[in-house]
Amino acid sequence: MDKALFLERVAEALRAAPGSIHEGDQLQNLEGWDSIGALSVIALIDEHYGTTVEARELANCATVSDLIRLVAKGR
Amino acid sequence: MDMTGRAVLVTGASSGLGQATAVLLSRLGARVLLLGRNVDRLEKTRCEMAGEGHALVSFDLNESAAIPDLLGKQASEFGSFAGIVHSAGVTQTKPLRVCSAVDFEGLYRINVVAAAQLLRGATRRGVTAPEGCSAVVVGSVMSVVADTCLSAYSASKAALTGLVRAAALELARDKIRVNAVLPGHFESPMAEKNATQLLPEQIRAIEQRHPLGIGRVEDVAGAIAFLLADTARWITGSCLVVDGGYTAQ
Repeated sequence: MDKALFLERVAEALRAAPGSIHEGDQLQNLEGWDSIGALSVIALIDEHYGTTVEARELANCATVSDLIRLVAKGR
Repeated sequence: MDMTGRAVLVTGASSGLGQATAVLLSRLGARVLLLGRNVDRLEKTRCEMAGEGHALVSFDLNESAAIPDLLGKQASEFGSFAGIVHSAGVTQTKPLRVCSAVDFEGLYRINVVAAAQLLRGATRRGVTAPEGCSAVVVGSVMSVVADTCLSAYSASKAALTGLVRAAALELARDKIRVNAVLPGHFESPMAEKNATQLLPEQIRAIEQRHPLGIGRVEDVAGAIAFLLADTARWITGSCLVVDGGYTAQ
């Protein structure tokens, strides 16, 4: 998995500034992380990585790294 | 309500609302043609039905251009239809910012185009019963109100209500009534699948917006049967809200 590309896609889904999202970031602190942002991230993971993430799985993720692990696990 | 001996086509009959509608109609005496993609699942529906003379047909409604011919063929084999129920439908919870043209087209294909082609098929000679036919499509309260992340779904269901009104006017001369039910949130496999994208607090919020609580498939199936039967002989072009009070607020 290309982590840089993933971070770029997450930034796009959250309408955050390009390059503003890093692996160690807390999801709650991300620019654009709200209910619509979270659903946008679920949609991008489904579209680009073929993994269906449930809301409760996402709720268990604290950081961007947790998100990357979730995607990697599902592939 | 009495549907004795009447032939009714039900799409989406393999689960949820379509299945419950087929079962209810069979108890009211109808002969039901069950349409769905998976024969095994349709067979399970048939096992739950009362009476005799039901049949099933495996068909993917994404093949919308083939729908009118399908209706013609099925009417000649099963008998002309006194009722048509379009219960098959797809939903999607997705923010507009990530909704592609493909997402919109996929929802429109089943929710709108398939419904239109079913109605088109119904206009063919011999497809509907000489005494008349009632077509009922399953819409949603999301055609009259909205929520976030439901752009494609709301748009498709609103398009469906437009189709219902226009078709009702055009098909009245063919003795075909056209109506919709607009359900709120009710328990179904589709709703269950959709709920996996929601957090528990979001699910609770949806429940709280239904003064009578979340509905059951039988609540909606009953409204469909009402619109199919002679109880609704003077009703066409209507969109019957069945939502436990959701849109009363």
